[in-house]
Formats: sequence, structure tokens, C-alpha cells
Amino acid sequence: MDKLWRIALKDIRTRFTDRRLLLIMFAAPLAIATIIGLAFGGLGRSSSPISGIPVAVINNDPTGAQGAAYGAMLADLLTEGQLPAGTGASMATCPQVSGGANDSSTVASMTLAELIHGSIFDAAQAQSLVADKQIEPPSDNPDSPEYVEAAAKAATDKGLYAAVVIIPADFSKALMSLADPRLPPSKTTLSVYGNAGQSLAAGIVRSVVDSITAQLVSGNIAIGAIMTVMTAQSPAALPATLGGSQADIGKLFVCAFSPGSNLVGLADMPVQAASNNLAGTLLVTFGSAQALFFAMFTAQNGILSIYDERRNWTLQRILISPTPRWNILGGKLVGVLVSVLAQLVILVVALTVVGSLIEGRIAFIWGTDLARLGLVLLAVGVAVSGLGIFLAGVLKGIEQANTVGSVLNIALGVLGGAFGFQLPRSIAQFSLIYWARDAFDLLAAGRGDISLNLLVLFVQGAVLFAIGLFLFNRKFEA
Amino acid sequence: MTSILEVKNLVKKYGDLAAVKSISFEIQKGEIFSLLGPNGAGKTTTISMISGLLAPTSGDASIGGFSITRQALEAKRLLGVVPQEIALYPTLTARQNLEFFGRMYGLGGKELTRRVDAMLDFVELRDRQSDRIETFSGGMKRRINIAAGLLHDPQVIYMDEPTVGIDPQSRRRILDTVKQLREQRGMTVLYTTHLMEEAQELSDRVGIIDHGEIIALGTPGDLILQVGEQDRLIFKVGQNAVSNATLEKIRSSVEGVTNAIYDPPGEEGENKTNLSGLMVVNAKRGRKAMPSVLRLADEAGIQVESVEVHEPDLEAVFLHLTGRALRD
Repeated sequence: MDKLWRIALKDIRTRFTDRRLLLIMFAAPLAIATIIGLAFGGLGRSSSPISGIPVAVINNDPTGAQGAAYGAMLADLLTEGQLPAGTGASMATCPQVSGGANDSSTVASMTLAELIHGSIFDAAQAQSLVADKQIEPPSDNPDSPEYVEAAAKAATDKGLYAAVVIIPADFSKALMSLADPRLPPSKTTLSVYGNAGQSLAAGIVRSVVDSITAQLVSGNIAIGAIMTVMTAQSPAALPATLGGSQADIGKLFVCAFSPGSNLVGLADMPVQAASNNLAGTLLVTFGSAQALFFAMFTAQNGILSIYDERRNWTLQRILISPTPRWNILGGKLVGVLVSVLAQLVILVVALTVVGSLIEGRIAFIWGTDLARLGLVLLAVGVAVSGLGIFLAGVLKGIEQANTVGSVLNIALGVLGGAFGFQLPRSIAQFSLIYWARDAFDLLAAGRGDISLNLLVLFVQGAVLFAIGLFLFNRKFEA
Repeated sequence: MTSILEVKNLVKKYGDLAAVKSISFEIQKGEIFSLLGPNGAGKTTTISMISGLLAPTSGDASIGGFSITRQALEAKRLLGVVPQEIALYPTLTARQNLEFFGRMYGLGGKELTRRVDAMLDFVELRDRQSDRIETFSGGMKRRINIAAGLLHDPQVIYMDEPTVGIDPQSRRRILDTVKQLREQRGMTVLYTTHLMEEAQELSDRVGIIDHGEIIALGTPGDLILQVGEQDRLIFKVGQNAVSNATLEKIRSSVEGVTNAIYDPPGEEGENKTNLSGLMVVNAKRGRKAMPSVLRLADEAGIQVESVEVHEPDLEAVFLHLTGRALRD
């Protein structure tokens, strides 16, 4: 076993002392991801090339509980980029309002209206699309909310929208339960259905909705706190406020959740939006895809280096020594896996530094769940190494392996969205880059289940690893 | 003397093609044994089987009594290899390379450090131990290449054309190193080369291999005696072709001539460097035969650019045995 580790260590050492390889492993993905992050996300930019993201908004909460129409407010923010008409003026009287941000929400130095082009999606819109044969008619009852939702999702899948935001019927009720200490706590789920082919845009929409929802929740917690104080000081005032002066509570609400208000910080919110910054989101999406893309080359080069060693006669020199062949192959495999993992970890750390520099603060752009982040990195390492060994086993000779391997890597990169554009999910999911990138996006957003992603990556890696090892070993023995 | 390496009826076949046809020979302990032969003769295949790179189709070999087929790991411990290629990692330092290959032979700890230091001293590159191999000159790389093969203090060292592509000074140093290995360490050396003068200078015994068979085996002196006291006349004929009729006329009409061949000009390559055509004539009392050969060449319209007269050597032995020049 000692020789196996020595061979692995030698491979790692030769790889990490080869300046040409280091450029490919680290400089290239870091530079590309950083350029994209800076170009699209910003460092002082007043506008972003990403704008006018088409979003369908389904508001199933038109009136809301006790007259508070929070669903409508969220819909207005997404479709108009600002609060309902008239509410903005009240900001002047809000306490502790910081300067600059008034009634227009801003994301990464651009207005929400510029970033998101939202439109209400209702039954009429659904039927119009069906009539124009832009989408297949959903199987649900045309009068049901499910029909509208299915139509919106179909339109999103078709690429007519980057995402559809579905505001649930009990949205206002849930938020009001936070504001009124007398009401039992109520939970609800707000859905963002994204087009996998435009996962970057969908990710931005999800971040924006997260942010707004967090503000709504924080506002209602603030209101609840204020009401608790008011009740304590003047018990008679509470019924009057709730029942008689909707304008007052509306004003209080606007003050509480509007951007620029410092009443309640986002960090304490139950709805977390870990990567609200656009640059951070882009760094995660493109950075992870680029890291994976170049890690595939590392894995392939690593295992194919055995051909280089044969050409340079260093392999024969090892074979002539009293070293069992399985030690040689095992050392190569361990060397590849460790190199790929080291490459990914270093890139993740480096991109975190870049993200922090762009944001001007320490930013955990990959999320704070380090255990699951480590698991994803391991799964990616196994998948990428498995692919490298598979190619080395299937392809004949280093020239063929280099050519076909490069073409395959680029194809997987295109499918997985490593080059700034995304294909539909039905196609993208054939690339391991898609599954890994999606897992990183989910972790960065602080939400979502990555079990399927891990399963796909580990199984794919293990299967390719086993087949590749069998084929390569047979070739190696020949 | 006892034999340290025994090769018995070694055969290697690729389908119907027999690359090595039942080769047998023995090398005594402390002997320098050279294996000579043109490209494709079966030298590399034979050595690859002895060193465990290739499995023989049949037959066996043993190093220090350990069979290469049944006790491969034990046999490999006794064998050191210095390949013709610079089998080193260019981005690692000289010391790192030696330490790695030392570990492949099971060395470790202080013993490894001691052996690496000793080898760096032996090849006089201790002061460059921390430099990457890629920064070394060709001769220095060759010396580290030799050191890597000697690290584990093997009983038998196989050196495959270790002087290819280096300057005369480095070549001299390597030849002296080979002699030291035998004289100071009692090491057995298996040497392959296509340079006859090297083989003649170094070897206790020589095996000549052609078409997968050993065609001659003995000391250089014994082998040269086989061709008698024949001189070898080499006529440089440029791009002129020498017809078979002319060659036959030289053979039959010039007194003392035993053989005459034409070696056409070739592309520059590993072992084929004659950009000018050569007419090679073997003759007893060569200087006496030279005027007649020149006259016949002139009559055939061949312009001779220069003539060299060689005393009998191993090249002549090969020519005598095969009718071909060794470098062909």
C-alpha cells in the first residue's frame, strides 16, 4: 500500500508543479468565473446586461385576510417594480429610514423594474396561449387554479418565461399571523418554478422573491412587535387599529418591509436568502460550472498521464521495479481523485474570496452548510474522476483520448451551462455539470434538497469508475 | 565464475510472428555482456522479457536463481535498468526523482537518504540535487537516469544505449562509469548498443542477435577471428547507385575480396545516418585491393568521394555473418 500512496503523491506533486497544468486547473476557471461575475454582477456597475427577465406571476391571494392584500403587493413589486400606487409617499414618515432607497426596490444597483419584467398570468392568459397553440392544453379543469398553474409552467418550460411565481391563497393570512400576536402562527409556501434552460435567470427571480418575502416577514414581525407594545400600553387601541384603520396598518406595513427600512434585519428572517447579491449568484452558477468543466480535464489528464509515462518510459521503470501492477493503477486513481478534490476546494475558496471582494464584505457565496458543500464536492470528485477513467478505458491511445475527451468535455459543458447559456432541463440533465451546478445553486440559496443531485453524481461516478477500471486494467495488462 | 543471469529457450510470438525464437545465453557474475543487433532484431523484446515488462510465450529466464515468470518480484529486486530514454519526471528535482524510484524498490528512511546521497555523489551531481530535471543538460539527465537504475544496488544492471545523443565528454564519463560498476562494485552489466567500438571497449563477451536468434556469442576477440584477417573498405559514393553487376564484378575479379555490398543513402534517423551511399568491400589485404576496386568503380561511372580502411571489428563480424551492415 505504501507504494500506492507514493505513486499517488508523486502524481499530485508532478501535477501541482506543472505550471501549464496549474494554469488550466486554476487560473482559467477562476478568471472566466470572475470576469463573468464582474461583468454581469458588478463592482460598481449602475446597470447589468441581465435585465427584463420574463416572469409570470400567479396571484391566488387577491384579497387576503382581513383586507391586507400582501399577494397583490408582491405581484405589484414583480410586475411594476414598485409598491402599489400611493404607498410610496408614506415613506417620508417612516422611522429610521435610510436615505437613497425609496419606493423602488433595488437589486445589485439596478431597479427591480429593470431586472424583472413580470406579468400577471391568469386564466385568460392561459387560454390565450392554448388557443395560439403555444402550449399544449393542460389536463386540469380549465376553471381551476391548477389549470392556470399548469399552463404557466408549460409556458415556462417552452421558454416564454424564465420563471413563474405562484402566490398561494393563504399568503396574506400567513403573513398576518406574524403581525397579530392574537392569531395562531400559519405557514404557507410560495413557489418559484424555473426554466432549467434559463436557470441563471430563474435563480435571480428566486433570490428576488426570497428577498421580498423576507422583507414581508420582517415587516410583519415588526408590526407584531409594535402591536404587542401598543396592546400593553393601551389594550383598547388594538381592535381599533385592526378593525378601523386599514390605512394605518398598511402604512405601518410599508414602512416595515420597504427596502431601506432598518426595523428588522434580514439575517434573522425565517426565509433565508443566502446569496441575494447578483454577483455572488453568478459566481456560484458560472464558477461551479467552470470549476467542473476544468476539473473534467484534470481527471482525464490525470489518468491519461499513464500514456505519457509509457512514452517517457517512467511507467516501464516502475513496472520493472518490484511493484505490483494494482499499486500502480490504484496510485494513479487516488492521485486523480485527490487532485480533482483539491482543485475544486481551492476554486471554491478562491471564488469565495472573489465574491467577497466584489461585495465588499465576507460573503459565503456557496451557502453556510459546509457539511453538505463538502459532500457535493466529494460527489463531484467521484463523478469527474469516474468519467476520466471511463474515457481512458474506452478510447484507444492518448491522441484519440485527448481529442474525443476534449470534445466530450465541451459538449458536457455546453449541456451543463458552463458557457453562459443553458439548454432545457430535459437535455441539460444528461450532463454531470448540470447536477453539480444545481446542487451548488441550491446550497447557495440555502434551500432545497440535494439528495437527488448527490445520488446522480455518486452513482454516475461509481458506474463509470467500475466500467472504466475494468476496461483500462485490461488494456494496461496487454 | 557463477552465472547470475540465465536465459533458456526464450520465445515471444505475436500471432504467427516470432519476434524472439528460442534464445538462450548465460551471463556470469561480474561480467559486462553486450547484446548487439540491428533494429528489429529482437534485442528489446528479449530484454523486456528478462526485465518483466513482457511475458514470454515460452521459455524462462532467471536472475540470481529467481525465475522471471514464477518469482518475478524477487527477480526484479536484483535487476536495475537504465533505459535509453530519460525515464525521469522533468518537473521534479533530481533528489525527488531518485527518492521516488528508490521507494519503488522498497527503500525508505535513512537507508533511502544514504543511497540517494551516494548515487548523487557517484554521478557527481550532488550540488544540483534540488534542481528540476527539466533544467539539466542532456549529459546530466543521462547521469541521473543511470543513478535511478543503480539506487537499490542491484546485482545486474541493464543499460540500453546509454550514450545515445550526448556529447563525447559525457559519453566518456558514462563508459568509465560502466567500468567502475564492474571493477568497484562487482556488478554484472548487460549492455546494448549499436556502436561497435563501445561494445568492443567494454565487453567481456558479446552476443549478436538477428531475426530473433543469437547468431554469434563469444568474446570480441573470438568473434573477430571468425572473419579472419579481413579489412573492411568503405567507399563513399554519394548519390550514385552501385549495381549488382558491379558488385559481382568486384567480388569475382579483385584478388582477396570476399564480399561487397551496397548500402544506399538513407534518411537521417536513429541508426541510419548515412546521407551518402556506401559501397562496403571485405578483403584480405584491403589496401592492396583498393586500386582495383576504384578502377572498376570508375569504369561503372561511379564517382568515389572518399575511402576508409577499417581493421577487422565487430561490424565486420556482423557483415560477415549476415551479409548486411549492422546499422541497416
